[in-house]
Amino acid sequence: MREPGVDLARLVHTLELRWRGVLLRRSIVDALSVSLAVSLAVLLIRAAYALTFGPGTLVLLNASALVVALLAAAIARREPAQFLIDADRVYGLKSLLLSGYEFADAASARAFDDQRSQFERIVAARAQRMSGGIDPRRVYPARTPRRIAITGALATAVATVLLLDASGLFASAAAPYAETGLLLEDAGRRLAARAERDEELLDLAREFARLSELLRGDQIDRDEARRRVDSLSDRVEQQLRNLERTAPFDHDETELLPDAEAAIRGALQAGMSESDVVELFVRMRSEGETIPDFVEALEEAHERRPDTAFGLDEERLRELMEQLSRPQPPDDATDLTEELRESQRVLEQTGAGLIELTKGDDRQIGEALDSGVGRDAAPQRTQADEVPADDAASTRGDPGDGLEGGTAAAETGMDGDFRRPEGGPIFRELRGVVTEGTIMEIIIRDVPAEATSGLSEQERAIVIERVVEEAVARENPPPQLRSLVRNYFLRLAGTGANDERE
Amino acid sequence: MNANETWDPQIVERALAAGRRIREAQTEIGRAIVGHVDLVEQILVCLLCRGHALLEGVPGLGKTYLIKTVGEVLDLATSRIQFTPDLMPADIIGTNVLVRDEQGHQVIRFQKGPVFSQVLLADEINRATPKTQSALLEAMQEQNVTVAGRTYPLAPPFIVLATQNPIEMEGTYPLPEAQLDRFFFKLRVDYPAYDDLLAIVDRTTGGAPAVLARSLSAQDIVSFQELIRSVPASRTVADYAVRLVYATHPQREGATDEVRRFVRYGSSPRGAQGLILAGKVYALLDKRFAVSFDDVRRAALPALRHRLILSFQGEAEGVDTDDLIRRVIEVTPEGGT
Repeated sequence: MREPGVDLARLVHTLELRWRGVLLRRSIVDALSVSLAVSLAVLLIRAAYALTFGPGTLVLLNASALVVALLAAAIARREPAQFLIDADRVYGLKSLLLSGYEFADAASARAFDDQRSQFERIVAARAQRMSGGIDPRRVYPARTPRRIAITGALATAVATVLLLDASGLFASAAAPYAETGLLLEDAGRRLAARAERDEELLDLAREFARLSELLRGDQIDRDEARRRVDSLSDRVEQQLRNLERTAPFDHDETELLPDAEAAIRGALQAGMSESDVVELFVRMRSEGETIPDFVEALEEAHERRPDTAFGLDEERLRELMEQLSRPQPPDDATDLTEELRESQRVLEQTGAGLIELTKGDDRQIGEALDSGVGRDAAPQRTQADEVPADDAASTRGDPGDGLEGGTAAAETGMDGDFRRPEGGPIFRELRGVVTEGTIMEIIIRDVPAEATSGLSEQERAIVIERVVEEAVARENPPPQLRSLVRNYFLRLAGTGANDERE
Repeated sequence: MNANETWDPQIVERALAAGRRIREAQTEIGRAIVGHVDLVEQILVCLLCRGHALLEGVPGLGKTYLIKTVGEVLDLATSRIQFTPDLMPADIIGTNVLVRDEQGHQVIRFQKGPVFSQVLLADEINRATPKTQSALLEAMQEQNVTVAGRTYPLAPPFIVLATQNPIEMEGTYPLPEAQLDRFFFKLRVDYPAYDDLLAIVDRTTGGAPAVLARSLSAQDIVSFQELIRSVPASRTVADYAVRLVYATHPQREGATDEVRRFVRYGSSPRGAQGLILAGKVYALLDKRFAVSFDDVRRAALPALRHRLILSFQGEAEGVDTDDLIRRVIEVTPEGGT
C-alpha cells in the first residue's frame, strides 16, 4: 500500500530504486549470457584440445560477470528528471510530473512574473497530487530480459556439458593421454624392478610414474608434457650409453674368435652372401647366442648354399671379426638394456601422441601416427618377442648390434639395387605440427612399393632399414617422431612395420 | 496545503476559457473549410503567438478562402494583395499623397496601403520582386510601418498569411532566408482527401454558403496572446527544444547523418522560440498549463521546415526538410541522457 502523501522528490527516489533494480536484473542476465557463452566455449575447447583447468575457472569467470553486473548497476547515473519523464510517458501525463517537479523549486517559481508563477504553482500542485498514484512497477516493469532465453539455453548447455564431463563421457577427450600415461606407469614400474639399488634408475622410474600421473589426471599441458618426455628420453639414452660402456667383458668368448673367423671365411668362400652372414650374426647376437652357436649356425647355413666361388674381401672380414669380438653383455645387463629400450619406445609413443596434427591431414599420416600412439603401444611390447628374429633386429635399429650389421651390409654397394625415388611428381604431401611453431613436412614423390629389387628378401630388409635410418638421421625429426617416421617408411617398403601392425 | 498550492482561481478559469473559445473558433472555421483541421489550428496557433504563416500549396486548394474565413470568424480586418512582378512597395504599405484639407489647403497625407489590416493575405508572395517582398519585413517584425520618416503602428492583432505555389517556379522570386525566417510557421496545404473533396463539391455547388458566427474579437485575441506567453515551460522541455534546433545544425553535436549531408544551415533561434511558443498554445488548447515534449514535437515541422537551408547535395537529391526534422526528433532524447 503506497502512502498517499508521497511527494515528487520521494517519487523520484522510489523510481530510481526501482530503475536500479531492473537495471541490475538486466545487467546480470546480460553479463551471465556473455560469461556462460564464454564458459561453454571454454568447456568445448577444453574437451577438444585437452586444456588443463578445473571448474574453478568457470566459477571465477561467472562470478566476475556477476560482479561486473553489480558494479554496472551500482554506478549507473541518471538525471532525476529522466525518471519523471519515464513516469509521464507511461501514465500519459504530458510532462506534468516533470514540469511540477521543476516548478516546485521555489527559486524557479520566483524567477517568473506573477501570472507565470501562478501557472507553475498550479502545475506543481497537480503533479504533487498525481505523484501518489504513480506505481514504480508500472513505470519500470520487471519484464523478462530479452536475453533470458539465450542465457537459459547457455546455462543448460553448460550444465549438460559439465554433467557429461562428470559422467566420464568426455574422459578420453579431457584426458586424451590416459592410456599413454598407463604405459608410462608400466614402463616406470618395470624399470624400477630392474633398477635394484641404482638411485639414478630409481629416480628415472619415479619420473616415469610422475609423468604418468600428470598425463592420466590431465594436469599437465602439452608443451610441458613434451618437455618432460624429451628430458626423460635423454636420460634413458644416457643410461643406455652408460650401460654399454660399463658392460662386463666375457673373456671366454674371445678365445673362440679364430674359430668364428674360420667359419665366416668358409661361409663366404662357399658362396654365402655377406649380408646373410651379417644377418645371421645380428640375429644370434640379439638372441644372446654364443660364438660356438654362431659358428654352428653359419656352417649349417652355408651348407645349404650352392658352391659358387666368390672373392673374399679381407677388409670386410676384418670388420666382421671386430664386431664379433665385442663383448657380450651379461644377461641381467641385457635385460636392463631391453627394459631401457622399451622405456625409450614408450617415451617415443608418448611424444608422438602429444603431436597435434593440423586439420585436413591425410588419413595415412593419421594412421602412421596412430601406429605409434596408444593403439600399438600395448601390443608392441610383445611384438619384440613374437616377430621373427631378423625383423626384430631390423626394426629395433640398435646401434650396438643390428644397425651396424645393416650398415656394413649396405656398404658393399647393394643399395644400387634399391633406388629411393627422388624428384618426379609429388605423390602426396603431408604436414603435421610437431611442436608449436614447428611444422614437419613429408613429401612422398612416389610409391616405394613399386620399386624393384634383385636382392633377396633378407638383404632387401637390411638395405631398406639402412635407407630408413639414413633418412631419419638426415631429416633429424624430433625424438618422439623417430620411431614413427621409421615405421612409416618401413611400411611403405613393405617390410617390418607392416608386420608390426599385424 | 503549502505556499506553492495558492493561486488565483480566476487564472485557471481564464486559461480554460481561452482554450475553449479558441476551439470554438476553430470549429466555426471548420464549418466553412472542409478538412484542413490541422491547418486551421496551426493558423490560429500562429495568430496567438503573434506570428505569421507561409502557406504552400498548389492553386485551387482553398488557401485564399481559408484565410478570408479566418478573418471573418475572428472578426478581423482582412485585406488581400495579389503579388505580381510589377507590384511596388508603396502598393503594399501606402504612400504620401498631396490632398486638400477641409479648409482647402494642400497638405501631404499618408494614404494607408493594404498592409494596414489585421489579416493580410499576401497571395503568391514569391511572384513579387525581393524589393517589394522586403516591404513587408518591418510590418511583420515590428508590427508597424515607416513611411517618409514617420512610423505608423498596425492595429493588433496583425498576421500576414502569405501563399506560394511550390510547383510553378518560373518567373518567381524565391523568398530570401531573412524573409522566410520572419514567418513563424510554414504550412503545407495538402490536396483534400477523397471524402473531403466530395464534401467540398457538395458545399460549393449547392445553395448559399454557410453564415459564420464571429467567435472571437480582436480584443480577445490580444488578451489570449498575453495569457499564452504566461504558460510556463520547464527547463527540461525548453532544453529539449533547444537541442532539437541544435540538431538541425550540421556542425553541432547531436546532428544526424542526414543533417550533416544535406543541410547547409540549421534553424535560427527563432525556430526554438517558435517551438516553445507554439507549445504553449498547444498546452492551453489541451487544458494544460505547462508545455510538454509532445507540444514541442507537434510544433517542430511547421516551425522548422522553412528554417533549414539545404546544401547543394540536399537540393540536388530533392531532400524534404520534413524528413530531416522527423529524423532529428527520432534521435533526440527527451531528457538529454
